[in-house]
Amino acid sequence: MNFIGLRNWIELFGDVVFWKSLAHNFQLLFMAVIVQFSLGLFLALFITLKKGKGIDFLKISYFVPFILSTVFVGLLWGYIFAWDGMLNTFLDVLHLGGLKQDWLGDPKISLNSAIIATCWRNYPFFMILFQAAIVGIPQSHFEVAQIEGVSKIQMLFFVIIPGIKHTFMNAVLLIILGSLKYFDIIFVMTLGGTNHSAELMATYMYKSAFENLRMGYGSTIAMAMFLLMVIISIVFQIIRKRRDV
Amino acid sequence: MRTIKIEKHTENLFKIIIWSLALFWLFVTLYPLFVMVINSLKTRSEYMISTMWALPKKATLNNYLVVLESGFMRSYFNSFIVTFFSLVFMISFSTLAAYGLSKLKFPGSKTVYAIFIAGMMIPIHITIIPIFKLTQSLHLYDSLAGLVGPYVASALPMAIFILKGFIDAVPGELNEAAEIDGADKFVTFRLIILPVLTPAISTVMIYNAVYYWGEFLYALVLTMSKSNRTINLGLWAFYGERGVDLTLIFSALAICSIPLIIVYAIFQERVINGMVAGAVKG
Repeated sequence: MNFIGLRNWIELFGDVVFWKSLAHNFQLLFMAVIVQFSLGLFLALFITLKKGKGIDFLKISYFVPFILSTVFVGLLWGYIFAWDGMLNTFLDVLHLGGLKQDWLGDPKISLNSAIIATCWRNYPFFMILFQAAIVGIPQSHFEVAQIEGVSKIQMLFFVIIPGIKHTFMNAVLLIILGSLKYFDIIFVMTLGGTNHSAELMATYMYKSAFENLRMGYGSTIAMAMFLLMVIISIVFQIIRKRRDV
Repeated sequence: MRTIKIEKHTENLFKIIIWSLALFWLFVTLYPLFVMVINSLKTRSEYMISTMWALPKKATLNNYLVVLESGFMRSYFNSFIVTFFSLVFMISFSTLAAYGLSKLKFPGSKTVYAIFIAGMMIPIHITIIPIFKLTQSLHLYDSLAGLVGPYVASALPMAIFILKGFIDAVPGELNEAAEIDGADKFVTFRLIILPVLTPAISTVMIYNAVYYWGEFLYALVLTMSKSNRTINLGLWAFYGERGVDLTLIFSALAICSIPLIIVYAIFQERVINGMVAGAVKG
């Protein structure tokens, strides 16, 4: 092992691919927050506020993707997004053939396609998290709201959302950290894409270390990822303390 | 009267929208799995001419036989071995460590605990290169045993954190009473601590069993040869080799997922709670 000082770090800061990967991580984060939180919250509300045997079945079914392995999900969705796969077949049947895309082959959209598959697997986690939080809201809050005669929508915005604020902020932190280090499904489905079009920091780290055999540079990327995660967590906790959420 | 009627009307509309969204999402969740199963039962020529949602005219298990004969089951078995031993070691280490850190105060026990907790912050992705190097120099590269170490180590911080929380809740008097009755430390652990820990152990076990079974990155980096693949690598490699024949791929996917879904259907809530509790604290 030779020590080369900060040479890897200097290279990293000038490395276009790394910045591109970082941007992709944020794209993943952005889409994951929107898709997984809205789905998770909607379904959590649905399975908590409705009662009955059928609802239990729904809850258990919604959770299925989360127990499946990431490679399984990547390959299954690889089929869904294939040119003659499920999605394009559906579009044909609905006479929407014009919307057909090469979902994974086209470098412009392959990252988004893989992100959708990632969301499909991971949203159940947030669903259960939010569900537990909604169940934890004291019954008296609902009763007071009912006496005040609020509508369902008002109930959502003035009772439920404030009631799960704490869990919600935890979920935000979890999804930030999870998105910054994400690897599995994106790698299985795109291998980083043509010309790094779907590269994430973790896939770039893997490629640098184990395909280009530059362990040192791979470690630099790993450290950059870690530092970023630490800094974001600290800043996030400070903001939370100040705002008291 | 009129406003009430309108309100009733919007209420119903609202209900219909919500139910259709929920059922639509049920469809998005389960339909791909359904398509996978029915197409795995078609012959290749039938798959070519039929639409994907058509039920097979004459169901055949031939694809499954081809998958089973291709050596794919070796990786299934490997995953069993790795998951089993990782769980055994992880549970024995973490329960004993949590007991020691909670009830047997020794100099530096706080520091040791703090180091474990700090370990929870560290994602496995940044440990992968050092662990690869370490595995190589221990001559464990490309062996199943080489996977067990990282698997156990990466699960320990969270497991210890959860288990110690439970042990802390056991009153110290119980411990002392047992010791006065002449029980040694290990007997106390077995008779007083372990029974209290059962729910926590099941949480930790469920979470990590699913994690070990689905783990991809360590397996990708630390193994190479066909005989040492875990199920996910086996599945991936199978896709690489036979990807053109989708009916075979569907069978392989079904072999990977159906048993898992059945196990999940048996335990249901316990799996859900275990996985979420584990991930939140981890």
